[in-house]
Amino acid sequence: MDRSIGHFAPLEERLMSAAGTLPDAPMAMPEQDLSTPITFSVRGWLRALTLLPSRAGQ
Amino acid sequence: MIIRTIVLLAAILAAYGGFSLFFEFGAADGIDVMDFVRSGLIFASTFWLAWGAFTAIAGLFSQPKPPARHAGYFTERTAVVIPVYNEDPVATYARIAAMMASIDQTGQGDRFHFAILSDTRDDAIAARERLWFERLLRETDGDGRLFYRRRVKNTGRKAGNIEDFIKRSGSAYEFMIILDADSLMEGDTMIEMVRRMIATPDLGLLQTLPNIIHARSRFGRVMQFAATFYSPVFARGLALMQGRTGPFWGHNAIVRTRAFAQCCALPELAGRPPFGGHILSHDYVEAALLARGGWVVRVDDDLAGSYEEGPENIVDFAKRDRRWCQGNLQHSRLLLARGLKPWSRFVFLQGILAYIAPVFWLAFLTASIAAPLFAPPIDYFPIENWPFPVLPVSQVSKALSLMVGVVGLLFLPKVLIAIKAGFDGRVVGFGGMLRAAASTLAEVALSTLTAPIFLMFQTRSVSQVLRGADGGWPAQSRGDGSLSFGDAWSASYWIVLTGAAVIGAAQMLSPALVPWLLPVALPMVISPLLIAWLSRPGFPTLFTTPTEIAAAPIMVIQADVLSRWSSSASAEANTSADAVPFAE
Repeated sequence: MDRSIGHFAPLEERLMSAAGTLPDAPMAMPEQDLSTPITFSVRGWLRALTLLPSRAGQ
Repeated sequence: MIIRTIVLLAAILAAYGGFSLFFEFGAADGIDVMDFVRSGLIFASTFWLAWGAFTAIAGLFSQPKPPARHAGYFTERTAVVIPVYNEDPVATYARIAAMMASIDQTGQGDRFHFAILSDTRDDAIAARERLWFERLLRETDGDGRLFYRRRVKNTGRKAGNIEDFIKRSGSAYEFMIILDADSLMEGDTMIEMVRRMIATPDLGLLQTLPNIIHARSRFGRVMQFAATFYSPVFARGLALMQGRTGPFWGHNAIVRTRAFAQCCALPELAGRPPFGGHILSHDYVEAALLARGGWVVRVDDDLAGSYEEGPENIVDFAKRDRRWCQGNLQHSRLLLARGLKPWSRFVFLQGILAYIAPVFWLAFLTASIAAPLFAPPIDYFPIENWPFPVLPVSQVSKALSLMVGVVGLLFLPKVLIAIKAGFDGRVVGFGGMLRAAASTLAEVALSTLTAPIFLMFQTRSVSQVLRGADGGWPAQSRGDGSLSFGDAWSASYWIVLTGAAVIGAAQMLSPALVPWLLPVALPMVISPLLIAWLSRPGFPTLFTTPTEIAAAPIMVIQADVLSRWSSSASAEANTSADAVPFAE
């Protein structure tokens, strides 16, 4: 487990330090890339098929 | 992989069967454009039905080998996280107190911490959360293993709530058990989940199949029976299909914290809701991202002792379904996201189809009513100089075959599950052979009756999501979920009008179709009556489930805590929030 992030007091000490408050033991969480190789828009397709009003009409 | 291919081919074959039967039926009076439209719609709808049916049948006849598990004592620490959002703290904390007591009974309770992650926006409820937390902390002797925090802003909703916890405290825990406010889990089940995670180092997420408990209304008990009786078989079929790319349903699951942190920080999608903004159905996406990161995601249907509560009436069900609909349709933005496993893309597509398929059925009905307008006139004298008329051959047998096929796909898995449960003795937990059989038949009848109502709600949800419109629900649910006729009418009057319009239009355009449409249109016309009736308690001799016969140990502890707390709940609720510690 990655416990290398940040410099803190020993874990057990931190867990017991303040009743009811969360342990101070950060872990990095990098944002994921969910981009698509080609643009894909459901509303764009529906507009193209004239099933939805155009942006100008909204 | 082989089973996936077989099920996929069987579903395509069944869909083709439906397509060709209907095409022959529709084209008997000459081919026109509506024959192609209706046959195409039949293909898509039948494929969806067949896929579900064959998945269940695959689950019925499979015998998975027992999963690997670590035996003996373990030192890894697990955080049980409970995100809450404007929930009743007394009910939620009673469940937590029960789970803490249950885990303590295993002798390894010190390895589990419980964290209440509040995203509550209502300050009055938040004050009660803090007040009751103090009591929970005191009664469970939870100092150092029970935590509460409330976020100032609920950025990213539930997914953002868990992300915030990991960024703040994730390094302290090897595993996280993610629960909902209405989740309940036996201590033994939590221990077993950790054992399985330890034994399989590349297992990133292990999903349990939560059983529905505490249902009181007719609708709730039918759902409870269906979830308990059929779902294990459907889940086993799903597990076979999905393999290492299994599902995550957002709660009652354990994750490897490091894997989740590495793969599951969700970005905000470009553009405005409903397709842009925060990812609503985050669980499917998190499962896909874990699989993309090389982690195994698995559902173990043999893990007992995992529970949740369900909606008590059709309106509450439809409200929840509206959120899921928006979330699933939003996945259309992610179908082509980089690096996802093909199966994850297929799961997204399945989720989208689950909401689009009812629209296909409705489009099919509409097209069928309108078809006579497009049909060429019947030529009774197609042979030149032949003095006698040639009457069209009746195609009713083909339509009947199609109907039998569709009904078979809908009900065969349920009937087979009931038969197998009779042979392997599982029926004992459902009140014995006769009661389980009667409950299955009654469930089939009731699901047939309510299907057109769900079809309408789902169609409206899809339409609302595409238009970017609000759900627009009237506030009506009582504490016990029961609805008056007036409440039911205000939620479904438009379904009544649509049902009446369907019968009227069919009578004008295709009178021969009316008897075929009645099974769909009649339940629509009486939908307020059905909705109100099903929201009340009932069916005392049907839909028995194992937890109705004998409450699970965790349910007994929960009931005990709740009865102790309920007497003082109203008095303590009035205590000033100013005196409460832990406010952030």
